[in-house]
Amino acid sequence: MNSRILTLTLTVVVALVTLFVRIPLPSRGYFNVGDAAVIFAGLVLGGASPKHPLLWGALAGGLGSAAADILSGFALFAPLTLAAKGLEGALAAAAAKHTAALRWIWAAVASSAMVIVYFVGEALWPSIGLQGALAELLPNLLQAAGGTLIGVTAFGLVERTGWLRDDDTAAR
Amino acid sequence: MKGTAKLLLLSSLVVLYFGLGVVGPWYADVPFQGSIAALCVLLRLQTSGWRGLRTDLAFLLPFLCTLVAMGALLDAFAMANRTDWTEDALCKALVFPNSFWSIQLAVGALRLTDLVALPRGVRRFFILTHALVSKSRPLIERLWWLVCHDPSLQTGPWIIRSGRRLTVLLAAALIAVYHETEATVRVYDARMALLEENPS
Repeated sequence: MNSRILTLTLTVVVALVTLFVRIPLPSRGYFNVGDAAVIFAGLVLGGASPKHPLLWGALAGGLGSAAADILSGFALFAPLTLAAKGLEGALAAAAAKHTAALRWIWAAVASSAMVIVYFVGEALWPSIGLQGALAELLPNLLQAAGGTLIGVTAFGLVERTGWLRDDDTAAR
Repeated sequence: MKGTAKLLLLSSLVVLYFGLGVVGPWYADVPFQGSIAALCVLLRLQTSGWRGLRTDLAFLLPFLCTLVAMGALLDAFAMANRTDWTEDALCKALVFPNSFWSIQLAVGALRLTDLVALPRGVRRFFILTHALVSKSRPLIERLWWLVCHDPSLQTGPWIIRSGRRLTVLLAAALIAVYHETEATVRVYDARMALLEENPS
């Protein structure tokens, strides 16, 4: 499996899935299902990349989500998104090689890290502040819980197809 | 204006506004923020018309109302022994649209040809990503349509049904977009090699 091609693929998948389902929110921008894609991307890259899986996970999650912010006109949040989703992707990549139970725990830690980075970042952001960060907390927690559930399940589905271990794919 | 100069000018303007009006001395300066807001609205009208402005306001107004409501709530509880939460929220309600518009206007002014000036590796990444997003978007939309019409994913409450559909979409999108990426990278590398061999 070519890690660079897989990372580019997952960057695009994260960006498109983030753009795909959007519900406008009062504070940060929009409620999306991008977290599911970020967790999924991290797990796939953690499972398939022999070298630097955390780096690839961070790149796919961070760049894909930041690109979605820029493409949808919310470029203001792109730097914060890059940090929050990059960390989420990297921690999810660390979860891939663990047993099923530990994988769920790692994925939940990854999502929680995203919520914390957003909260701190928004609270310190001059034009958002504590008021905006508090208003954002519940939607972010819901987004994180849904993202963990869908992302880990989707990774299990791909594992069962055998695509990640496919000799034909691996030879490319 | 050439790509590099345009990129530099736009980023300098954004950094200047953020330096002075968001984290700098003119944060709570109402005439300054008001003038920037008027300028942004005019530029937004010129670039995107009334429709673009309406879309922006549809995003901004609920946020601004929530911001002020949260400020009033924090004031009511005298959070952190402060009584200026509402005042602070009103300030943010003036600054936030300006910071939102300044970045949106800067990003909107960039064209693909401006990216040619970027270093080789960055340019490769941007062009490949641009091509892949254009090619993969309809692919994912088709996959979503199929997933939504699959009889095995029609049962259960809305939230469970949507979750299962998204799960299947992610797995299918990975495999489909991976093959698209391989093909796009091959075409890009072949074309660049050809251009380097025959620059004319």
